[in-house]
Amino acid sequence: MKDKLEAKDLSVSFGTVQAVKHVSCSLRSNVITAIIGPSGCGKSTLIKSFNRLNDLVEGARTTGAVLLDGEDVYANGFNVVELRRRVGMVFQKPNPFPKSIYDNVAYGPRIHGTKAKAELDPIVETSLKQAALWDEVSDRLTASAFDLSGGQQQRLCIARALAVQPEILLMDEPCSALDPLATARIEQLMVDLKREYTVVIVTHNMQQAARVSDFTAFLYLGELIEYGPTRQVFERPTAELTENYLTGRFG
Amino acid sequence: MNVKRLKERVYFTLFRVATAAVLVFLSLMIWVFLSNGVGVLNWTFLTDIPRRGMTEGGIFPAIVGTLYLTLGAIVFALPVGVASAIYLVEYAGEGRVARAINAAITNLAGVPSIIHGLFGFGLFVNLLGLGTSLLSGSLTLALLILPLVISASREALLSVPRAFREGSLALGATKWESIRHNVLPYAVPGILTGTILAVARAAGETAPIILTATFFFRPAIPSSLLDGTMALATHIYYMATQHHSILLVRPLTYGAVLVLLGLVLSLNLVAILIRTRHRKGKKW
Amino acid sequence: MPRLIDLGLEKLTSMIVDMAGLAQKAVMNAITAYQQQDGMSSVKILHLSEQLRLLREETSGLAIEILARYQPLASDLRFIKSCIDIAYDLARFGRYAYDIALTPDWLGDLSHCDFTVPLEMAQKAVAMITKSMTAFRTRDAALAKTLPLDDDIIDQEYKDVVIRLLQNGEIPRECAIAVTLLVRHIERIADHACYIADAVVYFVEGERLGLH
Repeated sequence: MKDKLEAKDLSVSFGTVQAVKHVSCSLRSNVITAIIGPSGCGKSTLIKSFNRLNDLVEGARTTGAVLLDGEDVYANGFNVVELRRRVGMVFQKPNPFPKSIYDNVAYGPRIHGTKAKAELDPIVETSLKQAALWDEVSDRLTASAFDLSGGQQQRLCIARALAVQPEILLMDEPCSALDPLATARIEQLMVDLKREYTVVIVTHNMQQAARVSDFTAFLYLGELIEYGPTRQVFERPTAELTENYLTGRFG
Repeated sequence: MNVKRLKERVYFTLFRVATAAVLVFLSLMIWVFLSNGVGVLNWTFLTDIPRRGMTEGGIFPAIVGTLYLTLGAIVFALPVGVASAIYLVEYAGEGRVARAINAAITNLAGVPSIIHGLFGFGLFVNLLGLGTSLLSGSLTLALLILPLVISASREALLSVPRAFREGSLALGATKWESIRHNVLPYAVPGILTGTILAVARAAGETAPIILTATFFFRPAIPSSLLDGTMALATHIYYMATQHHSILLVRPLTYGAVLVLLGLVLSLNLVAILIRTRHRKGKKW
Repeated sequence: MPRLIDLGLEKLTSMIVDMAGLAQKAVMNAITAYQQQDGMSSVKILHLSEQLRLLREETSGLAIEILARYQPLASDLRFIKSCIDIAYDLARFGRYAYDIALTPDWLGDLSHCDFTVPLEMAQKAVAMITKSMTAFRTRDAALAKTLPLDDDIIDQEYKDVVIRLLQNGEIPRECAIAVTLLVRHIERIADHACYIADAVVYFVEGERLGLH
């Protein structure tokens, strides 16, 4: 297991507010890493710095480095578009495009140059299968994505992200808008996905982190307080802040 | 009946009276126009040129002139307006420069149309030497409706959820690709609606074109952009105030009014239809 | 502001404390029975042992319920685990007390035997139980860490007693056997007091003493 993604003294600020403060950690490949912490502690900002989605926010300043396979993605001239293909993202609220199911999944490949139907069809099928959605939609690929239930829409978004064959999948509280059954399906999916991809999940649900993750990072007010194997962090945390958070002694 | 319910009754009655007043005035207007003008409406009226010192004949040149001028206005205002809106919404951000630009556009919308006319007269007719022409008139009208097109386009673009842009970018699309494939298509109905409403506005304006494009009497259909023309709005003005036999030609004036009203109302109707259909089909 | 789980944890703690009281009572009574050769005591002690057994099941049950309801983590989780372990050790005390009390019943008349040394050891063992439970109640890991030293003393005394009995031919056989059995039980009681201490250190600090 080598390090897939490494943050080195990473800090992100929006105007005068510092959201991420000097975070350094290494994420291994083919594992699920959970990032936990109270609301507003910088978890989403942290993962959005991995695919440079923070660049879109006005007034965002990032210092430090994020190394993907050893290369700093914030270096001058780094291909951001290619970065976002290699590091995919699934958002908190499912955001399918108002197109058909097929066109949603095919959107990414089309953008990256694959136009022929003969090439797109197998990509769409594989991605939907990987997202455990194929069986439910294979007979209505032309239907609007909005006809799907919440859980299905989220799996569609996962399929859409997988269609461009990323190496890392960032998931920002992917189940918080879903009911428990849909959540359980996606958690199962995550565990399956880690065989081929590296998964990073932000969650405010500690039990979810306990269920699915191999490593856990605890972020508090933008600082990385603790990071280690999930079993160790949840049974014997070394930092008092972590202990207090896990036992519910504060937010 | 207790005091509260009495109060409520009184207020509701006042609201109904206000609405009724509006409807009454509207109906009065329409009745006045119809009763005075419907008599002259026939095929000749619509297709013939004015004859006998504009006491007989039709208003064909005016209809064509209005159509040409508004078409010209759209040709200039639509691309510039939509492009500006895209820049302002997607690229300009929230800084001081962006806010200044937005303020300028809002102010431009508030400029009285006579001033637009004077500006057009000074710039297009005189300084650029285009003379009283379709070109001058179209450009002036374009400036008039530009803020409307920009506002409508801005709103349409802003109504597309941010999640669409984010989702597209997260897949590795560039900003422009995201706008082109995932934002603009869904903003089109809104842009279209706003544009049609702007067209309806342009069709009815008098002051801008009276100084830059129209003549009291020019029966020839304009054959080049530098030709002057007649137009419905100005024709109505002339017929009602400048004609040597105003009372005599009153029915013809009302006829022109009905034609202009019909044009503007049907444009508004089309816009509303597009907006309603778009709203029903909207799934986000 | 108290957490939902605190109610359950308080109940669990009080059940452990109750069990500890019963266990100490049982062991003390067993020792007294030896001193007074009182045959009725074994019935009373059996009763206590039964109570401890049932309480242990109840305690385990409550622990599981807390786990299911609240999915506790970190120190809360370790506390639950320790309570389950400690409940077992406390139930064992009841069992040993009963075994001790029962011995005279089947070995016959032991009124002529000298039980001074084992009884001293027994007092120490009971003191160890008390100490380990104090450490539990006050979450005092430092105190808990002193118990293995006490256990070493008892281990040594145990061996000394048995060897002296082997070497001393004058003591009647039934006394020698009765004393040996008694100190054997006491040694086990001391061991379990140590296990309780280990559980205390685990939930307070997250590390084990590595005694087992």
